[in-house]
Amino acid sequence: MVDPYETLGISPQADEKEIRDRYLDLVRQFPPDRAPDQFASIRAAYEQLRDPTVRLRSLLFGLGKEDSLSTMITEARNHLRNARIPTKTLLALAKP
Amino acid sequence: MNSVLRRGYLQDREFVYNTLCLNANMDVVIMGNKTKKQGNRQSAEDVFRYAQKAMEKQDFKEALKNAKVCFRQDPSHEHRQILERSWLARALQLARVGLQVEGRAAAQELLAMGVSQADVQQGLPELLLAVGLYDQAVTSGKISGGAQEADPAVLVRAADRAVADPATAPASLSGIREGAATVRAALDSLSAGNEGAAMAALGEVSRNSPFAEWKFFVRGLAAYYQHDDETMRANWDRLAPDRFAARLAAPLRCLADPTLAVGDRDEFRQAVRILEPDIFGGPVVWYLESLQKSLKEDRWREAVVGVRRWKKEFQPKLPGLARRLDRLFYDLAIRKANPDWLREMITTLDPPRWDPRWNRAWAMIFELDDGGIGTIERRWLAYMEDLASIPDVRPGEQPQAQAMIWERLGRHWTRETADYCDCEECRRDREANTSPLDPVHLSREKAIECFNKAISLVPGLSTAYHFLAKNYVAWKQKNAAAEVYRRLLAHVPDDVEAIHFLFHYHLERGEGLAVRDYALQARRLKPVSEETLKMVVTGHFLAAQALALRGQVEKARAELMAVEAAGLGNNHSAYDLTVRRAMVEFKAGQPRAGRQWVDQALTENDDPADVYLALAIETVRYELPFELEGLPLQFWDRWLSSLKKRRSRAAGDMSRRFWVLMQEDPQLSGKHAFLNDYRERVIKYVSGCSRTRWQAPDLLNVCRFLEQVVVDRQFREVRKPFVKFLDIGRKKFPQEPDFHVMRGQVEMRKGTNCCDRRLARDCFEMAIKTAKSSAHPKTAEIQQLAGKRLKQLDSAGVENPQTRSSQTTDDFAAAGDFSGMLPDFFQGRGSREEIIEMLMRMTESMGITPEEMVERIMEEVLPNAATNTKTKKRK
Repeated sequence: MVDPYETLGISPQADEKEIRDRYLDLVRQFPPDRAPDQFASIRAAYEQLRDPTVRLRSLLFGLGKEDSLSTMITEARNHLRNARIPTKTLLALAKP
Repeated sequence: MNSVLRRGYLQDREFVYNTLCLNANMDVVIMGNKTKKQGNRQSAEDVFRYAQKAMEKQDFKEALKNAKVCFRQDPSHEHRQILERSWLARALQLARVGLQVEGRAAAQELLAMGVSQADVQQGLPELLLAVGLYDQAVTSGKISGGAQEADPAVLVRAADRAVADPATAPASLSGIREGAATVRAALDSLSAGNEGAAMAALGEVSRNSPFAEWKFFVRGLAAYYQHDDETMRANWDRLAPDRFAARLAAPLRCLADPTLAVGDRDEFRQAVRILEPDIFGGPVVWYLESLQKSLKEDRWREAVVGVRRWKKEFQPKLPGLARRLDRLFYDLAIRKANPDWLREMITTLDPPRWDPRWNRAWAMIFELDDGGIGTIERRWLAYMEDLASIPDVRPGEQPQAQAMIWERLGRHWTRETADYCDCEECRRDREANTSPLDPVHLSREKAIECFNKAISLVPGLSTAYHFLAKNYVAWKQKNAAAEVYRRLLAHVPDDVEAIHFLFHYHLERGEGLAVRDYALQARRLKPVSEETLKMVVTGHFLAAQALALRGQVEKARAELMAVEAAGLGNNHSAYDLTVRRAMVEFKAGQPRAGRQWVDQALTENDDPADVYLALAIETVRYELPFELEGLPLQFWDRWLSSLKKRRSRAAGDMSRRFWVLMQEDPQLSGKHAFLNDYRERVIKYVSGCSRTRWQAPDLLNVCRFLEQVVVDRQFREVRKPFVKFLDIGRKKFPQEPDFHVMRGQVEMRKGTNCCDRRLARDCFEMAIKTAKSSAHPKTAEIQQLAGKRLKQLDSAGVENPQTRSSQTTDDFAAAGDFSGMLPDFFQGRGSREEIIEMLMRMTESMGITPEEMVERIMEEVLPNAATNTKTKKRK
């Protein structure tokens, strides 16, 4: 489970209005038709934070359900795989 | 590299001896256990032999050293030959491992000495390219230069080197520098995401060019970025394995293969280490894989220490990943309920921001590890104090957070009460000895206190009310539960569950006005729900009755008008309303108007039986005096006389009436007790309808009614006609899924071992088939139930005790399947408490007492089971 604050790029002290404003900003940047993956993660993060009671209950008693080292490794590898490699770094790959 | 070489020759004792002699000028040499005095000079032949051996072992440093010595002692052709070869090999070796300066010096010495051997001459260009002396050698005539004269292999090497480092491109090889610049420009374009420019840049590279190989690489790289693995492989498979491009492609292929772990291949590990600082700012993948390995091998401490070290270095660069790791390890320790793991974390890592003193973690571990309510409570209370220092809990949320913790503690105390027997006998004993030290009493008091504290902190915390009210219901204190729900509605008026509870609470007590009020509240929240409409009709009917009994006939009439406006729904017929109107008029002292309504009611149904039944029942409910023109007796008599002839409509309507009544009160107790006599007569009537010409809705109503009745022991004789009606229904109305489901259920109640499995299977399969094609309102429900029963039959069909035990007791209980439970009794698998608990659950779901359940098991299942096998009989 990725930290919803991190996904939305806000601090844990952010109030409901800040959370909503930031969410709307991000939705404008990543609309569901153009960036469905980003939108899904933004929406999931917002769902966790939008209702103060749900957010608080999750904070007090929740355990992360979705995160695991495998997930992190897959995400990191995907990130590496998707990154454009600068020529200098690329050529360094074959150096002894 | 040097250490590797050294390790190789140290194994060779003779070589050690030789090296020590040459290098250290020692007089004393250690050889085994013996010490010998020797001269420090060896013959040129011996040293030549050592040089040859070193060359064979590819220890070029040692070979060069020995070759120099032997050539100095005897500058023969043979010694010169080995010296040149070892010089070339050593210089190339130095250049390959990146020691350019040393390699260059060696090459210069070789050039200064001059090359006489053809094979050395052949290898010289590659060395000179590697150390950057190619141009110098061409200028001084040491080698023949120029792109036309150079060996193609040399050109290829020069091309690869120039791509890797354009500064090394020799000026004497025309076109190399330009070609390398083109390739690098293509790579830059790809890096910037411009595949078109990259392809265009390499378009002019000819097939014979030393850079032709790079075209494949660039095409493959473009496919790699576009996740087109097939094209990537097709291009990269064409690369010569010894070329620079192939070495570049190898780690990228690994990265494109998700099945490959970083640690699986050296080149992959190397590549990830090079890429990660550029892309993440620190090591991530290989580090996570090593953590994963530690956890898989149960090396928790090592993993936790690894997290600390990594965080120390990279937390500022990768704060997000650091937080995720904190959370992951924290949650893992709790999930495993492992106090040792948590202790390890406490001593190694900083506490997370949401649990500054680890109290939450301890509390949750104790919850999972059954650490005792006292410990759990102490930790949660300590965490309550920590709340003020948790940045995620905003100042305004402190009371709510505290309330949630109190609510959680209330639930724990509730569970404590469940640990004690709550049977009737124990409950009576406890009520007789109301000692304040009674553990159940204490736990209940604590639970109530916790929930009330939560409610006092946040009066709108509906979950706390629900938990408290459900506790009261479980403790058979419905009045207290109703009070809790009333408090909840004062703060949260839209709580549907509370409204429904209070509706049924007052319905049980016959408090018509309250029932109507809660029904109207429910309708406000769910105006289009069929369930709500039923509640509203019931509420108005009851309110009309209550008002009429109080003499407020105008208001009673208004209630009935409201029913007319709302609609009657599926549970009532038009004459149900008309009959009540008649009753209100009789109560209002308007017998003529009442009679008119009675006449109208009789016209509203083709068959008078159910109208008279309704009139007879409502006469009792509205407390019409017998003196009132002898009406009550008249209705009763007419109803009885209408029962003389068996008719489909009469049976169906009367069955529906009781089916609706029994949905509210299956036992017909309390205010419904007077209806028992009516019900018995209806049962008798419908049981005798075996030769009736049935209409599908009537037969369905009869079967639904009998299905409710048949679970009651006093009506066991009904089972036979019930099964007969179901068979008639299946035969005459096969399109109705309800008949099939009910027949299957009846068969399953005999137990999965004793029932006719083929018949049951046919019934459920047919139910699913017909439900799919019918417009039945509960199609999905029927399909789900039939599917579940088929699964039960499947697992029971395989004579595998493990398969059977995998079914839950609730599944068996729901199907009324006692035989499924019996092996547990006989084989003593379950403890006494488990068996009692299981029986309680079964009886509760079937609406019978435990005594009746045991009796049924003994009567129904054991004789059947006993006749099946001798073994069962013995048991």
